[in-house]
Amino acid sequence: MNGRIAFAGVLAVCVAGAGAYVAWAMARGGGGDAPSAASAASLRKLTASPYVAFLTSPKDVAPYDELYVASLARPSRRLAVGLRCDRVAMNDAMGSCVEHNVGIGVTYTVTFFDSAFHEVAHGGGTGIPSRTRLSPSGRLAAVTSFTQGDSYLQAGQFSTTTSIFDTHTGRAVVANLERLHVFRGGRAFDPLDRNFWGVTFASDSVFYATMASGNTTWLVRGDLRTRTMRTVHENVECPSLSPDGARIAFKRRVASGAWRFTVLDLSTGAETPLAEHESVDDQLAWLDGSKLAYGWQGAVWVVDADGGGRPRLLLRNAQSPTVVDPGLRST
Amino acid sequence: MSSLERMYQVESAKILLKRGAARERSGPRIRVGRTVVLLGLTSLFTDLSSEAVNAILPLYLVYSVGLSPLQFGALDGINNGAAGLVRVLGGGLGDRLRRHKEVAALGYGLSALTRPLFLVVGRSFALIGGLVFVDRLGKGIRTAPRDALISLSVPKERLGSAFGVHRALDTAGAMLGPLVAFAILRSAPDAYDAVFVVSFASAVIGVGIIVLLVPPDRRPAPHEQPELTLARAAELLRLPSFRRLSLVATALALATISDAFVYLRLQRSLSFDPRYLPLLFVGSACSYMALAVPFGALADRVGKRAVFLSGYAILAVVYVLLLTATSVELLLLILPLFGAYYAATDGVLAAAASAALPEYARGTGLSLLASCTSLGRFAASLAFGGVWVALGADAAVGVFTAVLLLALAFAAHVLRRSPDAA
Repeated sequence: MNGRIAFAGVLAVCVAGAGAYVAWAMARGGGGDAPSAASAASLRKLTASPYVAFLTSPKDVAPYDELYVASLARPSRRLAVGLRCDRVAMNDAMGSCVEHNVGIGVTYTVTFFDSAFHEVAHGGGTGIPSRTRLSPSGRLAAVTSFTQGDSYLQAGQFSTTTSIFDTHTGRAVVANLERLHVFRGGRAFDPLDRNFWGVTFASDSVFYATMASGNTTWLVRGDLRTRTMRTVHENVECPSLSPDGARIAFKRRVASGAWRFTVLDLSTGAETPLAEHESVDDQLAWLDGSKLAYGWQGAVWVVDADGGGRPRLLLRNAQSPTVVDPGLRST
Repeated sequence: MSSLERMYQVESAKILLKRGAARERSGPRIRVGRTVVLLGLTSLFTDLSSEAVNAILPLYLVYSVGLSPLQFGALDGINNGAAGLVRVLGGGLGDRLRRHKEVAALGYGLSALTRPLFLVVGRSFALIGGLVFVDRLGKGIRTAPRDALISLSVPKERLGSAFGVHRALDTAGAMLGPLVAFAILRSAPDAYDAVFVVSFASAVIGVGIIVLLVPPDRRPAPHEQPELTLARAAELLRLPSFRRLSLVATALALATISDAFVYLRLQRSLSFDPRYLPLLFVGSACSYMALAVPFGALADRVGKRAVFLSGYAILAVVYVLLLTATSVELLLLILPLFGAYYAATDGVLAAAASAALPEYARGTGLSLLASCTSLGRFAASLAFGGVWVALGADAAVGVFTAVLLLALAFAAHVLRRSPDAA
């Protein structure tokens, strides 16, 4: 009978301890509520000249999920936008803020907002959101999420879902890029295990993305008018099209689970490895025609697009950067 | 009735129970026995604990640790391989020491210990990977001795019911885990720590049940049963009924499509919002839970092998429906059938194998069988992937349906002469 008494004790301690901890976790709050925003006037003033939009964390530890903007000329000047996002993309016309929701499994909500940070529309999808990008006009937004990530469907088997949304209505123009046909060397190429991620837009109809099948990845060029894609180059992940549309900055896989940032010249096919020697898992963002920004270990760094120089720190306590030039159309 | 009288009755019932155990488990007073229910509860709390963590781990890695879940995926395969390797070790050790309870408890304890460590290892991917590895190791160690303990606690004619009760409770835990985890994250955003704490508490309750409440192994007198040696373990496969059962179970495992694909395929052909995918699992798990006990009891009455084969026949029906289903309403048929397949095969196979194995090698035999079937399933998933990429999803399901029917015919032929041990 000693066993029963001891077990009653174990049970009481476990139930009371776990209950108290959950109650404390609920009481301490955090996460949920939208952070407070800087005044509209100060935001308007800061965003009148080139700035970077990024995510930050109150305690400088993950999750980095509060949207801030900082002046590119004076990065130490940063202002809160009052939105919570897991990933964000902005240009001069529109912003796309993706946030995950927890229900039975994980879903996401994507909020589109205008240049004054007013919400325009909402969209949604399934999975853990990991990338978002906008078309130059701001009319389209792409979101990539990891799906099947919950244990009900066997952890370990991850796939990605990439959707393209109309930012004015929040509706999906393409619910899943897998529905578009792919051509390689002029012939249909639709491997069944294909996955897509990391879209970058050239226009409201043309985009680039990564397609993966087996252990190979390709850069694909897609056209929404014909609803087709064609392979352009091999071993390209998370592409980012330069403002002049001539180059693609991307993650090149150099070993299993290791990447090297590289720039591809679309006309010659020449690859230029960049000066960042760390393996970084992010989609690069063009700062201008010659520099690229990316998030790595809780900070935003800048590296030259020609392979020269060395990485420079742009922002501490920041992730998911995109650069906005209010005078120019940027990507 | 006064409380004193009631207390007396309870006490006398306990005495009866003890006498019953001492008299080599007599009478139909309790259908499966306390040990089975307690081990079922251990599994319930442990599965709740591990599935709660598994459900939120990808989210935790991506947002709180800052890692790509793709990296985690690669790790998971290695871990499951490791669990397979220690499985036979756990079964053999339980037999050799005649201490199934202690070996199983070690496995449960190992997994429980990893829970609070998630809170302290911080952001290191390597350390988190290590914890997941140890958790799977614990799972590998405990499964066979636990099943041996279940099988040794009931007479042969109630093995089906016993495993049915255990699997029903086990499935309940696996289903509750993600629900509990997501409920916590809903009410306390980003409170992954709270999920780890609740998971730890649940795992400790599970370990508490097996350590403090489950009676120790019945230790036979030395002359009663021979000691397990490597040579005797190897001879298990020469036991005609166990060999046939292993052969059949492996052949059928080779013809199964992974659950994940079944659900994905249903989602695509019936084209409903993928956010409802988890509900497919919940639906078939409910059916599994509800049917595990009746099917186990049925196996005890009409024969374990017959029920086991019927389960795979049900699976063949599911595959055909997978190819032909066009309306969402058909899920009301498919999901209960899919759960019924599990209810008729998983616990029933363990029961049939237990009946075919000598007591001294129960754990070893069960772990060998489990290794055969899991290797079979692994090979099947590779083959399925290959056929799928080469010929398409419909063709792959078609091929596997045909292979399953062939395997069923083979199984019926092989087991034809085998007297059912039930």
